[in-house]
Amino acid sequence: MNNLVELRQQTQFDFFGKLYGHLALSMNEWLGKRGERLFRQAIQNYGFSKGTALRQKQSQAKIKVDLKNMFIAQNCCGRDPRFFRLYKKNEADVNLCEVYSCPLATLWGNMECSKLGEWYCEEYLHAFINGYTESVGQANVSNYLTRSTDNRCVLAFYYRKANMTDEQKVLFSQGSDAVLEDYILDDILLLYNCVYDQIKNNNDARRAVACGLREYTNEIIKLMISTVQRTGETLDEAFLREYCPFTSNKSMLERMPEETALFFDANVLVRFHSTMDKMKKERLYAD
Amino acid sequence: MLTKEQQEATNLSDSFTLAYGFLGKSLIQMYGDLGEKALRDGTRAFGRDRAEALRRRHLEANYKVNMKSLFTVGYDLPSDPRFKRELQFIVDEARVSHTLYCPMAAIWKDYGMMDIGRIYCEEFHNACYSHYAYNYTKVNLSKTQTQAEDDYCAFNVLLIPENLPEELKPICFEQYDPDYSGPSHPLTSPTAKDGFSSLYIKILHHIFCAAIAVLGEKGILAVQGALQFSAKHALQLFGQQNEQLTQDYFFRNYPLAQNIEDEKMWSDYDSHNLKQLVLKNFYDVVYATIP
Repeated sequence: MNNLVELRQQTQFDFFGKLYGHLALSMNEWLGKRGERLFRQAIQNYGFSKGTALRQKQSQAKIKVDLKNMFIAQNCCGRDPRFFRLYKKNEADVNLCEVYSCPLATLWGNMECSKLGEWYCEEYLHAFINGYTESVGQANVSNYLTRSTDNRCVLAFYYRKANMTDEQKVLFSQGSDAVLEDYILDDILLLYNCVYDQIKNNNDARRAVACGLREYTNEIIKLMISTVQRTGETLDEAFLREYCPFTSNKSMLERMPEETALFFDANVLVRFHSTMDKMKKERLYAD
Repeated sequence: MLTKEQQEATNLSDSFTLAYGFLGKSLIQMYGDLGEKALRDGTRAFGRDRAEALRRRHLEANYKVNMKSLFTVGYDLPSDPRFKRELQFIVDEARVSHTLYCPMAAIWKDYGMMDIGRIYCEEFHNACYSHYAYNYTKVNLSKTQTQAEDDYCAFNVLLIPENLPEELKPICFEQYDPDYSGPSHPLTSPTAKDGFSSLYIKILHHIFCAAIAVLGEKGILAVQGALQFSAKHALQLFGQQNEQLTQDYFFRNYPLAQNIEDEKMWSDYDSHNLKQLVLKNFYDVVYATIP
């Protein structure tokens, strides 16, 4: 049985999965193959940026840059309790694992966009490990739950000392262990940033992304309402702090380039927060 | 029970597999991490070389450079009757397949060289399949029989059209080339003897060059030792199969020409006097035993 802590974690993670799903659906619907190309490139940039940032962060903090610490810090689905993975081997230079339950695959299945979810599975981990290991490591994703023929994800990662530079060998061998990080908001903003970066100079694509973001906003509003109803909690500031990864508009927007931030604000944050404020004020979903 | 031709093919295949193992073992035993680096670098170079050769053949015969061509048209690895595979699907964009029995993994395991075989699986497939399609292939091999945890190999090799730049799309996929007229002629795989001989010289060349690049002149010692060991081992193995071991039998079953001068490939693969090294450390050992 899920407890409230777990519910908070999975609800927060759905903010990420839904963003991906709605952006992918919209770009695929409005832009077709061009949308796929732009979106795959966005996932590649997202994964590479994430991996690069993690490596830089860990090396600055004197944490060993190795596969064990990569997976401790960022284990794919954060603290989401629906994520179930078994490690067959979990070492600094090799990681073999299988995933039997993935909340992203389930969510995208429910949104009827598993095929678009496959893009994520095909691109993300390759790009992430390239960023983390400066293209020395290797990701292998032979099976993934988003694919209709597969019943689990089968993954293998390698980061071999013999292939490393001298600097990488030092970072690999010396340092402390990582801890699991909270990164859902970072991921949401980075994914959005990477998508926006692909479409910012094209009006058709901007319209497609705007449509996707508006759909997303509808869905996260519904998610908050249904979570209030399912938990019997009161929709107030405390509830939003626990269940919603968004922080105050200002601090979120400051983390993005101005134009990118304005687009997100206009299509997501303004309506999301005004709806939440209205419901809080009118105590629509209070006990 | 294998036919004579199949027995020769398996000997050729095993000799290639073992030569890789002996080269790897020699490099790592003598030079540790640097030896491993040379082996990995050389294996990747071998993969890229094979990929380029195959791509060139495909383009010359007007085949599209995609996953279906890579795995079904004139592949340079001759078929080994012992391989057991379960193909899930093969289309222009993807090849998903399980290898249920791999004779290469089996022999590395038998000889206690799984760790060397592991290096081959990790480096070769990725380098070769990726390079073949201009480094746009996504190579996924999450399970391999050279890994103690796995009992089959899981290949998921993808070439996604939307990841390609516009200029490569018509080269890779028919649907982006409206004037495409199809292949100009069929391509076949080489015979076991020709195929494994070509692979043998290529892998020897690339590992040798990598050993010199990484280790300098001392890299030659490791390759020299592996060549001598390979010759002695093959003599022993073929001697068990054939009491009256002759040069003819030996070289029908080993992936090198009976007379080194008959092998045309040396003209392209004789860097750093490798041909002389092979003559002295392999052929001379064989000729001394079976004149």
